[in-house]
Amino acid sequence: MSVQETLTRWRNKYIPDHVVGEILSKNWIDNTVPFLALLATILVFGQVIPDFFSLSSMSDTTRQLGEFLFIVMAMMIVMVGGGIDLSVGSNYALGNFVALYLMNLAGLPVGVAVPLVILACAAVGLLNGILIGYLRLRAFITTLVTLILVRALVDMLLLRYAVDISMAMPESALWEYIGIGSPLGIPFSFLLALVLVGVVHLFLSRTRPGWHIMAIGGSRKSAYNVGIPVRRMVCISYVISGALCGVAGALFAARLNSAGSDTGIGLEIMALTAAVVGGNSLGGGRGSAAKGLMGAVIVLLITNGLVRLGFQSGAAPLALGIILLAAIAIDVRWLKNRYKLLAKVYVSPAYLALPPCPDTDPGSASPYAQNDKLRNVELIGLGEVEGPEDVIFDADGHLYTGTRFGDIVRFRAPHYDQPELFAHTGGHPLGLAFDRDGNLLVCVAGMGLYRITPAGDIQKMTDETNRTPWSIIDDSRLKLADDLDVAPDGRVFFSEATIRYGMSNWAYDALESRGNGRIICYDPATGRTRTVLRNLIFPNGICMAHDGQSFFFAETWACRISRYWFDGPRAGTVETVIDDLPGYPDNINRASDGSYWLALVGMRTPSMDLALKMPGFRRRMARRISPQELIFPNINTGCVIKFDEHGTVRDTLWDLGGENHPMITSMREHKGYLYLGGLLNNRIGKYRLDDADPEWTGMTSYWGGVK
Amino acid sequence: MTAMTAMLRRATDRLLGRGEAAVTLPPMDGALLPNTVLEQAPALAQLAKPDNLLQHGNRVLCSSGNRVLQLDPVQGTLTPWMQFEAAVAAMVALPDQRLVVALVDGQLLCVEGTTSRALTGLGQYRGFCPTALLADGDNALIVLEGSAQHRCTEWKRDLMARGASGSVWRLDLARGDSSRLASRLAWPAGIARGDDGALVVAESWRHRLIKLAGQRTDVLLSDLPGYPGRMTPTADGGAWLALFAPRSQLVEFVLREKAYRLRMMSEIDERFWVAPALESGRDFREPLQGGAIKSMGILKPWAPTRSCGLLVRLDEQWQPRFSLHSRADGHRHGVTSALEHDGRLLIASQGGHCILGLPGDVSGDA
Repeated sequence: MSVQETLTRWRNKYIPDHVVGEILSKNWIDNTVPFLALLATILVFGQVIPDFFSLSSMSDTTRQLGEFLFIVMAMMIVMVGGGIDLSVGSNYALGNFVALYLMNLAGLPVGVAVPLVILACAAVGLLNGILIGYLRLRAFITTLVTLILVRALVDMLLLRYAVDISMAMPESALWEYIGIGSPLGIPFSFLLALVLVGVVHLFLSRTRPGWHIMAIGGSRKSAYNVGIPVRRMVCISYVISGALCGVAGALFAARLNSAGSDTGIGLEIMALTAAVVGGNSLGGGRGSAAKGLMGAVIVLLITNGLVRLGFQSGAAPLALGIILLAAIAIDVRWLKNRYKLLAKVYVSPAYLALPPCPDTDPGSASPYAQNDKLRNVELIGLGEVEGPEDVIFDADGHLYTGTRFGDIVRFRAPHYDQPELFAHTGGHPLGLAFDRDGNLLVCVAGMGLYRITPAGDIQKMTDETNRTPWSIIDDSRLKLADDLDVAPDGRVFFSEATIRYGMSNWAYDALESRGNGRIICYDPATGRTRTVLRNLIFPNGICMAHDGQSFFFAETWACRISRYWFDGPRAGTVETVIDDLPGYPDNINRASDGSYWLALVGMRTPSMDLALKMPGFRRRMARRISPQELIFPNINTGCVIKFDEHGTVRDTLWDLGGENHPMITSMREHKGYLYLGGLLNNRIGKYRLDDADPEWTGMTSYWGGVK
Repeated sequence: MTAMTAMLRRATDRLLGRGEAAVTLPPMDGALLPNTVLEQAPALAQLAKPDNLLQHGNRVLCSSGNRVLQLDPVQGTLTPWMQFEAAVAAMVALPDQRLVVALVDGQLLCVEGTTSRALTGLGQYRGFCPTALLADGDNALIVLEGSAQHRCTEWKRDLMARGASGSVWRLDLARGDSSRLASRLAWPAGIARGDDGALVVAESWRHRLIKLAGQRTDVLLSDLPGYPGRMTPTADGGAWLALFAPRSQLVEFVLREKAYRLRMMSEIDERFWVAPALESGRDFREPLQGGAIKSMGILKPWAPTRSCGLLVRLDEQWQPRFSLHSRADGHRHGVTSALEHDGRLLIASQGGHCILGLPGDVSGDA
């Protein structure tokens, strides 16, 4: 091996570049930019301003933050629903005025006054909501108008009542506490705002109305089509916004008791900047309470910081404007490029050097020499079954197979001429096995491990396993359960081919050829699911050995067969049985003579073998050229081989012309015949075995005479 | 400074797959819209690797390996006509009924009646890789040399080595002299004469037709979706252009991946390279691309392929008018020459091992 190749191997072993793609595929990755901006803001202002972190400074900042957070949340909820609420500033001023009026002049108790304030502001929100939600006016222009209207209203009211308000002082300890109280040293309004952030987070991420608002923001038309009451939910989002402004106004009133006419001026721009800087999309559909919180802190720190640094009064709005522009630009670019970037970096090929490919030329001495034994197979269900990955027989000799439509189809013995629907799983059924009681166990791609009773009832056995410690993508859910077999004590061992791809794009896993797969054990006695073996290279077929203590498993892209002992003196050990197959192994099943059948789903090509040793080449290829053009293992041609437990190949069955069974993913011996299935075929083959035991069946081999 | 920026540009292009590193292909659209005319055409004759069709007097000749056969253009019967010591690379009939045959070992033979003699004493010209011939008056000949590094049979190696050492020669048979008309061409493989008398050359590895005008070369037609080969004139002043293999994204990508290309060329049998071919899908060790996976027993016609059948009809301005196709799911691949004869269009499909006979007024809409 050349020095360069050794370096390539080591580089790919120790630098986990697949992690980059996995991190990018996380939803929380949206928060990184605002989070870094937040850190930078704190660092910069902490350095520049003396006693920035002092108690009094923090207390003042957090009290303002309390009120501001309500406004930002109000803005954020409307934005997530695809709208915008510019009236928050004047609504806030209205809330302030109403609170002062009710407390100072009307002399109402806090318990009555505050709900009234919230109601008043919610009414403004309702006006917005009716205009925008039901009458379908433009959000921007409508809320701009309410901004002016409410502001004018507040100005008129202030002209009339401002003096009276400033003369009176409410006699309420509770009101005072709301304004300046600090339970546990934390300002009351800030504490309330933190509670609000938690509530909003739960609202948007865990409740039905929250999901509806998010869905409307994401795609209004789709939301309408799935039956979400779009108009009502849009209206409600503005009402919520108004109510939150009311709370903020009341808090402000309690804190300062001031009826100034400049209350809340420019607040809508601050709130909008905060929401966008935090990463909430202006277009709707993407946003969270945490983003709002981060944005609010950033904006408040910057505006306060600039004031304390002694800049002129215009500096803060100027800075805000620039930040808003930058944030919008970043948001647009990020939204546009995130999935592009993800698509480019997710595929992460590994180094894999396969042993030299054995000879397959016809007439050669190789055990894999090509022949045309499979030329004259009988066909079952031609054109009636699509995608029979696996075939199996029950105790009565009926044939079962899965199809790509999600059905389990049964052909009745002995003629196997009429397909009948046995069960509908909903995913693509792959591996099949019968347990001792005659239940059909099936691995369903995208769903997990299921049990189908002889009556056709479908029961879930398991669809998740223990999550791998420190794994970035959540691998607890089963994405691609592939093949299974049942141990004598009823435990089910099944393979999950890859945790990084699903049924629609598993082909990319061949390009990676990394150990992305695993073998999992489900114990029906305890109901527990545990991962047994990890980091396997597309584990596929599983077959119980005749000793009942171990099973054979195939790793497709690694072209090898291994054996794992789960019981007995060698429990826990893995031994390689064949490591240099000329093709890609799929399902393994028992043969009547004590050996095992193995389907090769495809054959190795020299160009692919070479590419496997050059991960950089494959990585660039995955980025540059379209999926249909990618180089791929040749799965247009396959064969069946028979091997024994020492790894000796005893027989090979080929269809040289490749007319009927170009691709073989499984085979099952039954009463002197071999039945062939293929994931991308539309037929099942039936091949007569001349030297096989004509009475042998899989059910008796596994479960004796038990029916 | 400009060299610096150029280097930087190349580096970023390579990183991002832009500019020269892009593997975009011209679409098969307009005049090149795929059809199945070649696939459905009746096979006139079955013949292993038919290559060059030629009208010689009233006879139609076709080369196949080191044999030349006479074809009955109506019945399709083939009769052996002549055999050579090496495979025939190209043939041309001179106006005086003499025939010049180029062999893959570089020899030029002059055939008169049933005797042949090697043409020697041609000045500086040394035959190495003759790919196409054209008569130039009674006693002169234009010869295309595909490459100075690889023989005709090694065309795949020349492409994968990014060869550009081809040349165009004019041989004066009467005076025994030769002159080089153009050099550093990337596998010139087809030649014709325009109605203004200028020579038009198909430069395969650069996917274009160029006109030789003195020292200048003008590009007549570029960005072809395949590798252009032989051209034969039509009665109305246009030409048939055989694109003997399609370009593909994967091959274009491999051409830009030096490390992989070099290892592939040194470690892998040429049959199994990621490279264009005259026929494909015959051996499972050939490379397979994702879109070529058979589903429910069917190979999609649009599947990525290393070989196809593609014959393009050019008008007198050397622009494509229409084209005849055999697609990925077909077998009439590797079209290397076409010939209009007696109101019929004869087509040699090297990958399909047959000669096709079509009506002379065939068009692309089928």
